[in-house]
Amino acid sequence: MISLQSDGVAAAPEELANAIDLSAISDALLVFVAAYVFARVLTFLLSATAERSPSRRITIKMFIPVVRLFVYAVAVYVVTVPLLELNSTQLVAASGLFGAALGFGLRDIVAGLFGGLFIVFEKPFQVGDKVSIGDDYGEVIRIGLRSTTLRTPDDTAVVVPNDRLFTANVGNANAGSPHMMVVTELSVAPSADIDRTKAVVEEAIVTSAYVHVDDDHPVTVLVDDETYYRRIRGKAYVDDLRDEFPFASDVTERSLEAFAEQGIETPELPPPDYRLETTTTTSG
Amino acid sequence: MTTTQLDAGSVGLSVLLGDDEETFGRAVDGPTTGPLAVIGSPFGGRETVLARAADRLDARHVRFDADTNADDAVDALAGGPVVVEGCHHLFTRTVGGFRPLSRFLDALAETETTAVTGWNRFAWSYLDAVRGIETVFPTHIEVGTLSGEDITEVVEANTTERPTFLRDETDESPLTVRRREVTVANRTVSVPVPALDRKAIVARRTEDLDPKTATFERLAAVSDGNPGAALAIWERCVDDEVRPTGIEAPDLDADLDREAAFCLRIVLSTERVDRGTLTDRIGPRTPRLLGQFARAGIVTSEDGTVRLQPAGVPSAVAMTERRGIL
Repeated sequence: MISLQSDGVAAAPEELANAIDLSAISDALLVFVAAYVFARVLTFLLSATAERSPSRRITIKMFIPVVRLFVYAVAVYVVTVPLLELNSTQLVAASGLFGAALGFGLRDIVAGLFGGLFIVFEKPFQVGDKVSIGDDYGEVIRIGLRSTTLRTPDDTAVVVPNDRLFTANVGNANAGSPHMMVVTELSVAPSADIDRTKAVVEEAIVTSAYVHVDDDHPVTVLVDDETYYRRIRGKAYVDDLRDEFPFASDVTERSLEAFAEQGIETPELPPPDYRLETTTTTSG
Repeated sequence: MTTTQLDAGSVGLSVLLGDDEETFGRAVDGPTTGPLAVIGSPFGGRETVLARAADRLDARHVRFDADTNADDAVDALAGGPVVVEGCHHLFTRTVGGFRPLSRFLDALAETETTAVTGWNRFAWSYLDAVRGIETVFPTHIEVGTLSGEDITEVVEANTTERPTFLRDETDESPLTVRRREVTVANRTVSVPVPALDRKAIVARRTEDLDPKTATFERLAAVSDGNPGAALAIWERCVDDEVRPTGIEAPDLDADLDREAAFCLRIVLSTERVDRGTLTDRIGPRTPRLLGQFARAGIVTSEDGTVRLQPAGVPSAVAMTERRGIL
């Protein structure tokens, strides 16, 4: 522990350097390592608890970044205030050094840190949400102070710097709820019986193991008339957003099975001569 | 006795229906105002309520099962007052599986006959969510859950064994520490994780009650106040002696994935289902899942029919609701 008195601002950087001796650095490192381990243990415990309770998973996981931020903030406080015992002059000097570092090389990192603080306090999304940030789409699996990690549908972890939040479009598919709307699209021939088709798709949705239906989460089946086919869009919510793709696959598979059983025709490609004509017209 | 039809002397309508008893009386004794739905958990006393309705209306008592087709269901409504049990057998969770139910509901909406219908609670909540079934029934009543005192009466009226009631003695803290292996940076370390000791919690919670009251309070809690489940759990757990911590419902060791929970929810909401129908819906995993449920004492599978077991109801409800299955 070091305590220094300073009489002038000009001598401050030198005194600051004197204040930070080897033992202070080792103590500070010890504090940060302890904070890191403690944050990891808390993250592990919260994650394990969340995974055991699917319906409360997102609620529990939203505390993880807050807890981590709190642990690191306490560590920074313990290191800078009681450990270094900086007086006001030294704090000014430290701020100057920090500002210079910021200007020269740490700008992106600091922008990321501010992005992290923005996520923690504004909550545009939480751990467990399905989001799109720019071109990246997936489940938020970690919110760090500098970056956010998404797991894409192909199980790839994508690390997105938090400062991209200030420039890219951010979409949140579920906004903290475990339920999420999934749109399943199917196509049938123009001659198909539309009422029967809609009934099949609706029944495939409401009999799925993944579906969640109540007054606030209704099932809707819509029809679009396209040139060579009719597109049926089944809109419904999954109980757990992780089941987005299994749900769509389940509904599609059982709808197609029922279409075949009930003789509901699916669209065919336009006649070859028409396709040729269209291609020719377009290129010409 | 069967666990669905409780001893008539042991539990009254006021206990089973609570505030809904008045509604029930108006529906069966007053002028016809449309069909009545009686909704209850499996083995929870729904059949007792329907039997009383049949007595008071002097009505035919019909039971639907998985083989009942749409024509049979519609025909059941013809000719005088009728009490129908097992309406939840009129649909399956498949594409096209609602047709018999739709025809029955259409016929029910048009009939002038007094009709009292019995529905499994979980099938009802599903049908209400996806088909808005409540709109067909101007009146519906729910069979409620029983308190520890009511459960005591049910058990004493339906069993002959009179065990010795013992107090749970424990000095252990409800909060224990278990060690768990965690891998950090390619190194496995043993981390202490706090855990709750269920038996110690039960012992602490019941230490101020006399052993008999504590045991039946525990039975009411474990069975979710379901009299049929309580009787089955009682017969399963009680010997010459019984302690509150000795009362436990059968449970699976592991959490269920969504497909397994869906399979169990189908059995829970139908109470008995044809094994082939279940296999068609769930797929090739069905035999393994049913084996897992049967070993835990939640279902039986004999002669091509899968039956929910009364003692397994609380676990089946807890596990499928934890998974959020509709």
